[in-house]
Amino acid sequence: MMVKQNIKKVSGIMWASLLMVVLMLIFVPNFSQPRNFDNILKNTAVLLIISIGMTMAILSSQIDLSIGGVMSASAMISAMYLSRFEEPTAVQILITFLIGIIVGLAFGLINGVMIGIFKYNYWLVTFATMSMGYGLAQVVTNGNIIAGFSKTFRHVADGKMGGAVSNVIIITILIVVIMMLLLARTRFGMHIYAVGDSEQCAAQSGIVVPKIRILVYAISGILAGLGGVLLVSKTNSASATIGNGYEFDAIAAVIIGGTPFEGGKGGLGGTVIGALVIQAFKAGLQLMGVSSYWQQTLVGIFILLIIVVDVISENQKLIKKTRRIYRDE
Amino acid sequence: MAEKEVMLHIESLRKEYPGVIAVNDVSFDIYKGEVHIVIGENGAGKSTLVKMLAGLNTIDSGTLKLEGREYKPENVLDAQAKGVNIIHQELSMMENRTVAQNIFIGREPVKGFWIDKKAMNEKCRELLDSLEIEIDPSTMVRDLSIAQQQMVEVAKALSFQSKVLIMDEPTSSLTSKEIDNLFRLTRKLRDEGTSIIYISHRMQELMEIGDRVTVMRDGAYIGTREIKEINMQELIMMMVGRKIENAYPRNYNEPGKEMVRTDKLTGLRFRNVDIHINAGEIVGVAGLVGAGRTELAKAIFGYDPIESGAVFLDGKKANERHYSTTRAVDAGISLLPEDRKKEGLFLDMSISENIVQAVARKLFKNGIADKKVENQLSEKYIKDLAVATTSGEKLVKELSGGNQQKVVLGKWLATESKFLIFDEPTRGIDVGAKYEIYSIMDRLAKEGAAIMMISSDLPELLGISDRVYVMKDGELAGEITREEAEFTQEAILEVALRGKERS
Repeated sequence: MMVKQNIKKVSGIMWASLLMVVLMLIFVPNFSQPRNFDNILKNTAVLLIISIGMTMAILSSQIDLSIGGVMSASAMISAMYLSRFEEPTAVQILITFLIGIIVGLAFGLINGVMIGIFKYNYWLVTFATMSMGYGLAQVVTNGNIIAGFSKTFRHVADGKMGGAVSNVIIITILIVVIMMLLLARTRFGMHIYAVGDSEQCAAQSGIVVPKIRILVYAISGILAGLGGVLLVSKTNSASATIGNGYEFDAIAAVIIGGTPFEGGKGGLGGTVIGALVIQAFKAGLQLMGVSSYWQQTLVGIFILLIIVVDVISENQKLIKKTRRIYRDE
Repeated sequence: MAEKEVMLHIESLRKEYPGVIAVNDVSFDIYKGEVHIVIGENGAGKSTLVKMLAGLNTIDSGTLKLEGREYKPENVLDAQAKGVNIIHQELSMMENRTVAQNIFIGREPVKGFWIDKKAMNEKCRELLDSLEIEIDPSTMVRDLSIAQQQMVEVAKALSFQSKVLIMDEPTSSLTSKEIDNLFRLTRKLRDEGTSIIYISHRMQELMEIGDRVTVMRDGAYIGTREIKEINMQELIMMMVGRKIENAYPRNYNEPGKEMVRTDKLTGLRFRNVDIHINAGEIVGVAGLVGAGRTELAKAIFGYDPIESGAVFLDGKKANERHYSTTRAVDAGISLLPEDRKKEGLFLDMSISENIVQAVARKLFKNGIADKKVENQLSEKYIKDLAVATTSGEKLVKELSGGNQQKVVLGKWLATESKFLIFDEPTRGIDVGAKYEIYSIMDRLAKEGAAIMMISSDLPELLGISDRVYVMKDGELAGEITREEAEFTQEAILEVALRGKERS
């Protein structure tokens, strides 16, 4: 049922996005090449992992701006550890990922505790931790780039364990499926929606709202930490700016996916589509030779268009609903 | 009769808000297995009292004992855990969740790690069936009507094991069939030993469902009686407590020319509304919650959308499809909103800053505020309306409800408005201040203003208005004038509940 809802909600935006993809297939040279698709999917995978946390934060009617900063911090700190080894063993690679995840968790807990327990404003808190993350990423290497990792580490994201599909895609699918089940089928998931719908009502119904908030930001932090390390593995380099702009792409993926800022509505299914659309759009622009500066601008315009379409259709729905309830009884 | 066991013992309960003592040293007992009605006029303190019992309001002083043990609810959850539940007067639901999810939130049935949706929906179905509520558990709450949502609230409260169940005007938007169901269930719970505290305005309900009745007036406990032994005359005397002829200072004048007219006004929650108000007239608007009264007022004022039709002031079009509050204010319409604190005032600003807001555009044409002019203006209205304050610099949030309302009024009088809409003007205001507000309204009418007054307080509506329009489900269902013999609460309720055809 949750999925059905999402699709209904997404439909208008989906048509627009589908149209865009079809247009690119026809008019953009090389867009339909398998290599391009693989590229889009890999880019989508990393974006999607961190967008899961953003989806949860927005579902609870808040936001997590710290995601990009957390990615950078976790990428740099774990890369520093890894760069000590010429040919790291499997255990050392595992530790690298664990470091990234722990860094993410630490940031998530700071967010969650400050917001959930001390009730500080979530914009300010995650804005501050974003800055902390980007800053910390520069501090640890004095702003230097770390690059040239071992093949085994690069294989974690880029390798093809099961044949044709890159590992990072498989990892992402696994996480997405788990998180979808968590959101749709467990108490915790239900309560994220409940808190987002009406915090007051949730609190008066026995839901411990601070607990939900802490968990949401902790999970978001963990996934951002994991995303940071995966991005290093995928691109074979770590810089303090590696997470730059990911928070905005994640917000865009959630919004395109039909989860509105007011919270309590939407879900991960839409975010999957949203992340795909953004990366396809960017890849298409890339192939058309559009500079990355313009790409960012055009993505912004695209999101603006979607918001306008969304607001108009939501207003229509609201008017229809009000009429139904108040007039035709 | 067998000796009564005390379920809830209330002793010297007190709650004070700035400027108002809402509940003043109230003491009485609730027996086990009785339906105890709490009755009183608007502002008598009934809701404040039960909110304290349910953990929604903090208690200033006094003690409660539940089954002989000290009972001090920290919050709603704590009250629920101790067996005290409340059905709110206002709805608090999660719109985007299903009926079942709303009812079982926080205690969803689980199978291992997963929520057992099937079991949840089944349990919900059983609950709804037992109440004879025909709603599918998997319906989204946003798709339900107001009455259906209220039934779901009722069902949710009933799904808890309650020792004390509080119902705060639960029938205000239910149909007679739903009320019957609710009463049937209420009796069943009572017979099983639950104590029910029931707040109502309606005499009929009191006779039908109550065992005992407690009367409150102006925050104080007046008395408790057995329903079987009560005399209606006595009950009304207890509620009103004083001669009421002079409660409503109103001098009826010969109405002047037509000042306000709406022409087939249609908005989101009302349609085809034709009303007219003459200069010097106070016209009441009655109706149940959700009838569209406030929405009509907001649309006339240009705040809510107008879909078709128009508002005329003094023969000139004052608002239509291209609605705006700026246009309405310039034409001379003002609105004293229902929610004073949120919509009518800037609480953190001073009295003079509030009074100057609406007229500032006209007063300071070059865009620069002149503190001297501002102070002169506020000085004038503070004196004129007798706002109790030491100076115009005092922050509005520090004033009592009555004085806040006067500041809102001052803001509009400064614009020399010809048409004033009062939405629940005396809600949460103590008796003395009410009288002052009425007097001002009367004076404004005498000076030639057209006044529209929305109120759920029927005695007030009847005491102040020349005529009363009654709305039902977004339509104008009737009009009752002072000259008619049927200018009574019963007549208004009849139209408000049943609509036109039977009036």
